[in-house]
Amino acid sequence: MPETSFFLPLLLQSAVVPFGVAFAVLVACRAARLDAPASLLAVVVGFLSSYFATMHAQWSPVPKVALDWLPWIALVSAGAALGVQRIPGAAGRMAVRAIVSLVFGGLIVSGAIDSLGVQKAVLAALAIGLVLALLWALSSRPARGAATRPLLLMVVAGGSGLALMLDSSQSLGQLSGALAMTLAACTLFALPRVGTDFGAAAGAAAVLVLGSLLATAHLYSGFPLGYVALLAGALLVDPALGAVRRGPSGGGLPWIPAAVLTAIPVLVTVALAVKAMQETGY
Amino acid sequence: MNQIRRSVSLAIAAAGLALSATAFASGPAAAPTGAYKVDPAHSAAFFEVGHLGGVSRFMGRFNDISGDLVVDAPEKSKISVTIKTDSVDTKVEALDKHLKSPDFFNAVQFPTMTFTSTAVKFEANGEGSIGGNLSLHGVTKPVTFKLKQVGSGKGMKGEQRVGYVATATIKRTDFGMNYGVPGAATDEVDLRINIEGVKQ
Repeated sequence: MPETSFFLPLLLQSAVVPFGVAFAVLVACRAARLDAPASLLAVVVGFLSSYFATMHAQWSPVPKVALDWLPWIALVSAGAALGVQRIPGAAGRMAVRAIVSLVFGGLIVSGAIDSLGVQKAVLAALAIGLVLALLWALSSRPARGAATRPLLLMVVAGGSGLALMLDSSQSLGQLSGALAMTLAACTLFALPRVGTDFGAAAGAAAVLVLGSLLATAHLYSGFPLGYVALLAGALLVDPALGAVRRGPSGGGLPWIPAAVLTAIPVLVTVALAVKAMQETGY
Repeated sequence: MNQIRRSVSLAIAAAGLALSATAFASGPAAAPTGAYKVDPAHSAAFFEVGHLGGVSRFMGRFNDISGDLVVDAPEKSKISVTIKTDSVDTKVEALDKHLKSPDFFNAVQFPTMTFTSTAVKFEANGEGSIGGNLSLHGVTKPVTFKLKQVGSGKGMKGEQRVGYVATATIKRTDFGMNYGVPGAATDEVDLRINIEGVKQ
């Protein structure tokens, strides 16, 4: 009887493993009273656990294919996100963000130089670097509501995962979904009853990993630039709302407007991907 | 008279048998020796794989193939073929896109796959094998194809043409294409390359 179960491993690799590992990291950090780095560790370790559960058979520590860079990007994102907080001036922090992001852009594009040509590859690396740096800087602004930031990132990462699986690359979709599951664990722990702080570093690492996944998908899988723009726009909603409505949140449910406005471009992207898939009959 | 008729009939039957035996025993006409270029319009590469772990056999093709052949004694014969991975064609655009993604051929990073022969064995019946190096997905491995000459003859402009079919089975995991094995598609992939060469 031929083996037809394709979805069970996918569910384990992209949902159960990252959520379980992130949850375990958060519990362990709480028990050890290590609240400060808990969410950052949960995001990165949870993502990496899913990455290796999915890609272990083909990963090379010396990167040979574009996706081999992703674990290194995740690790450097964690270190850079923590380190940049220690830089005293805003200009210095922005400069470090720009340099790290441009390096990420270069690494992501490096595998596509033969296809794109050097000139287009350089432009692509610059564009990716600038967008990552911008998203990183904006994700460092405080969110309204303790669990708002991980919740909104979870929505965008989850929607990205769905759109990627429907449109272009199932492996990249799985990894984006895995990131969403780590953020789901962080959201639960950030709720007032538990109160583990989802710090700026955790948000920055998640944004850098998600941005890198989307850039890789566009370059190597033909994930439409319009979809990338909608999803990047969704990431900007919370910082934009925060800039518009300054001052204390004033009670109530401050996360609702941000959640609704974030979900709209995500749902549009997923709907477009579903429509495109139905039209092709794949 | 009857004896003469019988003798003539026996002779005709014997001649017919001899001709038939010769026809079955011989292969296609030997191709003139020399350098040939792969005719991209009449050549293609095909792959066949088990879908969903073996529910069905799924086929696709690559439309962009180029290369060179030297037809000569086996020790002097050689072939090199280049196939563009983004020419993969399954009739379904979305599936082509998925196959070009990092999940499978990663066509942006590895825009071509190549085969360069190192050893050719050829029998009088037009069949043999061709060993060489297959470079796919950034990995180069030795692969041996079964080779069969289809025929040889003149084209519409009087140019000399020769046709071959080469088949082999590879494991895609040997070339780093691990995604979805075996649930989405089997590890074993049957390759078939139909080549028509034009003498230069």
